[in-house]
Amino acid sequence: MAFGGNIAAIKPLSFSHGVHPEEYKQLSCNNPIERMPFVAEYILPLGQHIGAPSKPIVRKGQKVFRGQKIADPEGFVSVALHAPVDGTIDAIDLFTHPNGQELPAIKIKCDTFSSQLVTPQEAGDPENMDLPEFISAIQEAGLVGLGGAAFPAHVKFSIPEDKTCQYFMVNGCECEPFLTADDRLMVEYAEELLDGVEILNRFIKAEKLYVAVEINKQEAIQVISEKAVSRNCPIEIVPLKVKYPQGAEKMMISAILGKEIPAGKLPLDIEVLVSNVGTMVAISQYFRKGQPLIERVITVTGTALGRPTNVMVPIGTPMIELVNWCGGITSDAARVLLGGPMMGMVQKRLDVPVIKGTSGILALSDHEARVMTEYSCIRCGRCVDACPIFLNPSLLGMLAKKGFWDEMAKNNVMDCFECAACSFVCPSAIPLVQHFRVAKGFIKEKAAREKFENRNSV
Amino acid sequence: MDSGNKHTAKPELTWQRELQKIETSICEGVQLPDLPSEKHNVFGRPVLHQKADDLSYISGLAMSGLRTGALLDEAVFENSIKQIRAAVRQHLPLTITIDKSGSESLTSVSVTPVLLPFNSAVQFVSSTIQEAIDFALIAHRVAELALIPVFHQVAVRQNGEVVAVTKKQLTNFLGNADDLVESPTPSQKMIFGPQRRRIPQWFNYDYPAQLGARKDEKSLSLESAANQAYFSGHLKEIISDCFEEFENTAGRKHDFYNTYQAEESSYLLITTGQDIEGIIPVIEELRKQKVKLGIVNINVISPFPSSQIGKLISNKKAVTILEPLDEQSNWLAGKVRELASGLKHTPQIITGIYANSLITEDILASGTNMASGKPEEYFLCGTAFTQSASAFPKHQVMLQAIERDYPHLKKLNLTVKKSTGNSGPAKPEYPISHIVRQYKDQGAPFTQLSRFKDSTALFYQDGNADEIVADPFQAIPSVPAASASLRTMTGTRVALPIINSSKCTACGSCMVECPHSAIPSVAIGVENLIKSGMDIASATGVQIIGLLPMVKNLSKAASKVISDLGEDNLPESIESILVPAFDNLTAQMKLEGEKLVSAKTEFSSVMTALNKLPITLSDALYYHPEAQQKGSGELFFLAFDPNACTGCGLCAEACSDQAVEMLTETPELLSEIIKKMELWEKLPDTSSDTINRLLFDKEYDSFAALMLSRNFYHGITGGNQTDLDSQTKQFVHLISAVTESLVQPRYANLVREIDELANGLSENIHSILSESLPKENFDNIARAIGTTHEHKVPFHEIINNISGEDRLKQVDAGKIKRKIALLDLLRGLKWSLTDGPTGAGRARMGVSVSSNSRLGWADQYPYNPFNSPVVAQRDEFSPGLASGIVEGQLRYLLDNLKLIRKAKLEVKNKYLPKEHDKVIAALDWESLSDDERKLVPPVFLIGDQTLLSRSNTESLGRLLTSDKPVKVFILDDLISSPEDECFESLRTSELISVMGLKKAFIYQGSMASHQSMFDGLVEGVNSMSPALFRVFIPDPDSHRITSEGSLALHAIAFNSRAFPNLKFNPEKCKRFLNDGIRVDDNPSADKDWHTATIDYQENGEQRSLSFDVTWADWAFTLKNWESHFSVYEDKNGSAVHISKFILSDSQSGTPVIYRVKDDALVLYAVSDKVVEMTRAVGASWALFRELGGSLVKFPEKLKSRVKEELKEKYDAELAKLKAEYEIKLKTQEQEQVEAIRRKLRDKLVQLAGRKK
Repeated sequence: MAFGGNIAAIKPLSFSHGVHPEEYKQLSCNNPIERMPFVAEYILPLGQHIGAPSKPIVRKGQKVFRGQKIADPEGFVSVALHAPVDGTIDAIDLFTHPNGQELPAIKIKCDTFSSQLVTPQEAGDPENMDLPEFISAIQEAGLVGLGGAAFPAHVKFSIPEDKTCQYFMVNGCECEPFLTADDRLMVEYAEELLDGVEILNRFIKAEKLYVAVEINKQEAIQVISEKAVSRNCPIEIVPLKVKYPQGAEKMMISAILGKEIPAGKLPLDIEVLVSNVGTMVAISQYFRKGQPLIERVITVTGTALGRPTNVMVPIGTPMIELVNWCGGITSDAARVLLGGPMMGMVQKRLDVPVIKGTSGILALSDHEARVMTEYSCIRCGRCVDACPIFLNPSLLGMLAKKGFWDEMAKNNVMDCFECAACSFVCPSAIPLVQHFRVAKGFIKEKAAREKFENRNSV
Repeated sequence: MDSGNKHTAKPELTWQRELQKIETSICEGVQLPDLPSEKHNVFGRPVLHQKADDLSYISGLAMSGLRTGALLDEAVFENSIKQIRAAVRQHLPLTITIDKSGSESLTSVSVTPVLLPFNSAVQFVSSTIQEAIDFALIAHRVAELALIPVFHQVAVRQNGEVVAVTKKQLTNFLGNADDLVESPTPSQKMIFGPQRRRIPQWFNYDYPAQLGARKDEKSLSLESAANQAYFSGHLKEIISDCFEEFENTAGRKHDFYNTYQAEESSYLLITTGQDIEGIIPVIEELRKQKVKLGIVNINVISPFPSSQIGKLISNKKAVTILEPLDEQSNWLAGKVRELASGLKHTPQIITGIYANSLITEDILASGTNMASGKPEEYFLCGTAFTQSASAFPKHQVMLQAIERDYPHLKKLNLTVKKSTGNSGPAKPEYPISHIVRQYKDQGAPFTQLSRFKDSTALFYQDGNADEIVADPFQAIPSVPAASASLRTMTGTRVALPIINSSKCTACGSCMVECPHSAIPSVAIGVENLIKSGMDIASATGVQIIGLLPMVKNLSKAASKVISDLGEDNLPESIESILVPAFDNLTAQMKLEGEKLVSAKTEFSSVMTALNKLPITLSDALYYHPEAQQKGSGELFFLAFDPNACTGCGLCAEACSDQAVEMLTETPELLSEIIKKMELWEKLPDTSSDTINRLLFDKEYDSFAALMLSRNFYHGITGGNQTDLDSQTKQFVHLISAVTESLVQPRYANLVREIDELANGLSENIHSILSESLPKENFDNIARAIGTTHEHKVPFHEIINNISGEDRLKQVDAGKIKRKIALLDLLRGLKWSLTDGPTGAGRARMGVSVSSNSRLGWADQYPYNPFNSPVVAQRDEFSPGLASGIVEGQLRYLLDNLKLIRKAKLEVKNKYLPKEHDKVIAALDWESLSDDERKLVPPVFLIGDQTLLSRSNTESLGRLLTSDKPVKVFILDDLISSPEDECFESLRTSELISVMGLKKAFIYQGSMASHQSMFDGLVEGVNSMSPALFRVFIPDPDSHRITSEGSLALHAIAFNSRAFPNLKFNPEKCKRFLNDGIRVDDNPSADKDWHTATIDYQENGEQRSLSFDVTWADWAFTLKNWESHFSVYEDKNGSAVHISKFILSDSQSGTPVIYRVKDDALVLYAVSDKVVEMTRAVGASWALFRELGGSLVKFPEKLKSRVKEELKEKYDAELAKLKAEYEIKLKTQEQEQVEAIRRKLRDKLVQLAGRKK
């Protein structure tokens, strides 16, 4: 397997447990990525990533250019923010964040008469950089993990001195039903994707490179392997079985390497780094074209949406504009989700902006979103079979109902990454994952409180 | 496709010039765009020539047996279709070359050959200059042998060398028209006998016959059958013979078609009008790639060489026909398909369509397509419908929409450009001009300026017009308003103007002279300027608190600083006034500590905002008003628009104070100018009080006063590089400014009225609603409230709770609904007036431009300089079009006025639908009040002198009697050609016939007097009636004297009566025309000619001479009259100045004019034509004076004679006689006036072409 573009195995790999919900990808998987027309206003929350919010460096009334930095990172776990359009700073104020809170954001009035070419930023030459320079460049590019969590990419790539990365995996699984953004991105931006991997690997120096793709994305697998061969990129394309949650880091690692990440540890503890395909493309675009993270691909889809498709959207675009451009929401819509149907959050208002972590907007009709009556647990054990990390959701669910948080913690509820496979299979329609979320919140809060009290007592 | 040896010293050739030379050398009658260069052809015969709009002239010559040739532009060709049909029928041996370059396209792309609808005529296509010349000769021979007209389409795309045809070759090949030749066909032998004249004299006094008889159907079918058999049937043979004969004579071989590798190949390309030499390398390239391709280029498209082509395609795998996109596209493919269908083995037939020219890529793609095994059977070259990606994000959005909705279009393009992908060009964008930024673009997409920029204008700006795809908008030749301001002239100019504000006197000449509206300005008081500075600073987030209460005192302190400075020590920027003023003020206020620090910080941010604004203190704007009232003086500031400025330097020329200077453009200078412009944008507009004051200031140019307002200044916008037409552009700019200034206040009044009506209506609705509530007895309300909780509740809850007997009064729901609907309509109307979809409010005028060369800037795609709706049309239709527009618009504007009328009644609660609906619905133009009529924006018809030509008389007359707000502007260059009819008097009489209609306001004048022009424009545009403006706009290119500039031309035109000043206001004309006519603005208005004095030296002595300036002096300046003046040595004293010559009855002596050359007096003898013209112009002037009443009142001579008679004869009966005298006097006067009137009327009737 020395040459590039090798497809790893005839038989797709996978992990044990998990579920296979209906895919619904055909709604949008064949629609090429379209560019969203520019709209009048953009709202850029300062906190779009995990970590400290960025710090504005522009003032009201100032002209800004597409790609220009408008906020600096505040500390290490924070990234820069850039203007997604040519325009004028209209306000720096509190605006509703997709998470429902009023949070500080920069509002830009778009310049109608600009052609909206990117004003390239000075990214530096990756061929002549050392790791710290690279890390700080990535931070300046405003790069975050585009899979959904929006964890600052440079933090992830900062490998501590005592650790090494032996395996680097690009995550192109996209196991959530409905979502096709990564699929299209791999097909249309394969070249950039591989370029991003090559740039990154100059610094993380992984011995093995993988792209993991579920086998329902045949075109992506084919295009990437062709490009890898022609670029002579030493990357292995790993077709994975179509199974949820195949895209979860832990599942992917277990599928490809057969290794498990110990509870409470990170992939790097077993010499693995995983990153999303979008992040790779973004790295390439920053270093080759000077374009920081100012736009991303979003699948706007669902049975209650006029025209499901994949859209290249400037960060900060009001969701309502995006949804309307995609044909609007039909009258039988029951619910709009941010993200996929399994892990996505129900969105109450659409006047909030698209942020770096927005991977999909899903409008479900009454039929798909039907709310079922909850019954008692019948101990059928389907949730136990579904849980990809071998927890006992049935037990945890019962503990949760009684509010036995400590007991739940003992039963490893903190390892749950909320894939919702358990809720999905539960015939009694018990909202298990929702219970776990609440529990995790309480447990975290308690831990923090104890930490605080301990510190005070010292 | 290389143009050959580039090292030759010869100038580049254009086929038009070469072809005209050839035609002139062989023909006896030609119809060519340029005057024939030679008077005689090679056979020694004179060459007749007439410029005409059709072919009638040379058809007549051809009938008489003369050799004739024509080079027609498309318009004339189209006008001549009927005559051509007749010529074909009558066997006239015409040869007609059609020049399609020009017409609707801007860049003169050469002809794309099409099959013309004359089946039996011969049609040639040539594709190189050499072919164009050779085919012209062959065409004559073919036409003369076959007796069938030949049409020749020239598709030359590149200039090249031609091998000239010698005189001997010419005479050998064509022979003399008079020669007797063997009748070439058996049928001709039967018709003419064994011999005939080379060019038959179908029309001949010696053997008279009738031509062009109308035949019945039977005879007509016999005629066409016979034509087919006895004439067309011989064509192929005759043409072949002619090609052979030509080769024998000139040594060059031509044929029905050219081929390359056509016989040996498996695949064949068929084209017409292509230079095959240029294609050979491409074919070779393909053959290298194992694609066996050959090519056939067809030169004779009618009669089509069917058998040869049929043979060529018979052994091919596939054949691709490449032909131009035209209404008749597919004719070539049709012919080939027809041929193919008859073959045993049918090759695959593929059609490729190209828009204007084929490029290498198209040929390559056609070849590879054929050889691909699964070729596309129909495709388009050159024209891209989509591109897989655009570097420009917004363009990409549109492209993907097209691709989504029209997926099949992508397949039509074989030669889609390679995706420029995501690697966009990193171009810094130029700043968008002020005028564009105010646009809101809420109209339909096709009217959106930003959309137009991103899909079209952007690419023109960057010189990448190739990137534009055939998107749906391209199908609509509609350009959004003000698109010219999307353009930047940065990069095309070398110099930029700068202003020395201390030298500037704020006269505004530069603003007025600038044709590109590139010098916006403002007059602003000190206090307002400080406030603006504060606003600009706060917009960037700076907090201004401490400075606010100081503004008044600061501006007073500033006035003090200025008066202390004195007029000799003028400041250059606002800083040098405000900084000392601030220091003085803070010292006076004894500001200290923190307060002083914060005031200083705030002040310095204001100073930063004002960015060293250069200001001018002028008499008109600062010192005069300041002397009247302290604090009322205003500072003057002007900016240069870096996008619109072409660097032409007209502003520097116009500045008599040398305050404007042209400097070589540097990035620093440009950025300085951009900064000033951006600052100007942020300042408020000049107040209307200032402008009104200046309009009454006799010292101040009224045009300049208007230009001080940005709202009036930008009626037309944007720069373009047509400096030659800058004078017409400047004038249209002035018209638009005047109109803006007249119509905007009317709109403002209407908006005020609408506001009042809307307020009234809402009061109205409110009171109807409140009246239904109880006034004194609130029991029911109390009961209703009783059931709700004790906190704030919505009113409807209380009302809902009212029940049973407590019910409120009834309201008339229908009435309320009606009023609410009306209110909505009123608000909508207000929005249209103030904002509208563009954001700039309703346009203040409509424009119809007769497109001609001098107004080329007005309709040059993609840059529309107008802010108003505009239509560009060809002359002959424009008056009719303009009246259609006026009437059409009126329909909508009447609806607005009906709305106002209805609201006026409704607001008083007097509206009764049954009674008023009918009346209001019947409202028409005639029943409108003057005030209402003024709300209809005027429509301008702008064109050149051809508008006054005979063909327009009727439609122009109809337009000017229409009683509608339509204003006609005739921009006359007063250029005449000696060959023309005596047009001066013609145009004058057209003008007089318009006057005779007594409906239209008329002004004739020039920019020689700004004030007269301004008054004329204001009066005419403002008048209720239609108006006609004839304005002199010199065309410097046509004059011999250019050094003195256009001002000198203005003076000569004015003084020589070539262009007298004239005003006619029908509103003032109660009984007779002369009440409304004014000619007294002219020099020596009471005399025939104006007298001028020239100084010269004779024998070392200084002398001077006075003479009458006549039209001949004007003609002397014109290039095309040059040959009518010759230096005259007055040896025998027979020279008579032309003004005297035309007065003398005997006409003895030589008419001359006087000129001073090198300080010496030179006499020029003038031709008869000049005398004739001068006399005619004199007569026109006399007519004007007569009409104006200054020439003939009641003649004094007559009066005294009558008096004497009376005295002698009737001395005794004085009283009685007196009475009779009065009577006689009166009748005589009446008769006199009647006679003038009759004379006039006759003239008018005659001119209007109507029968008595």
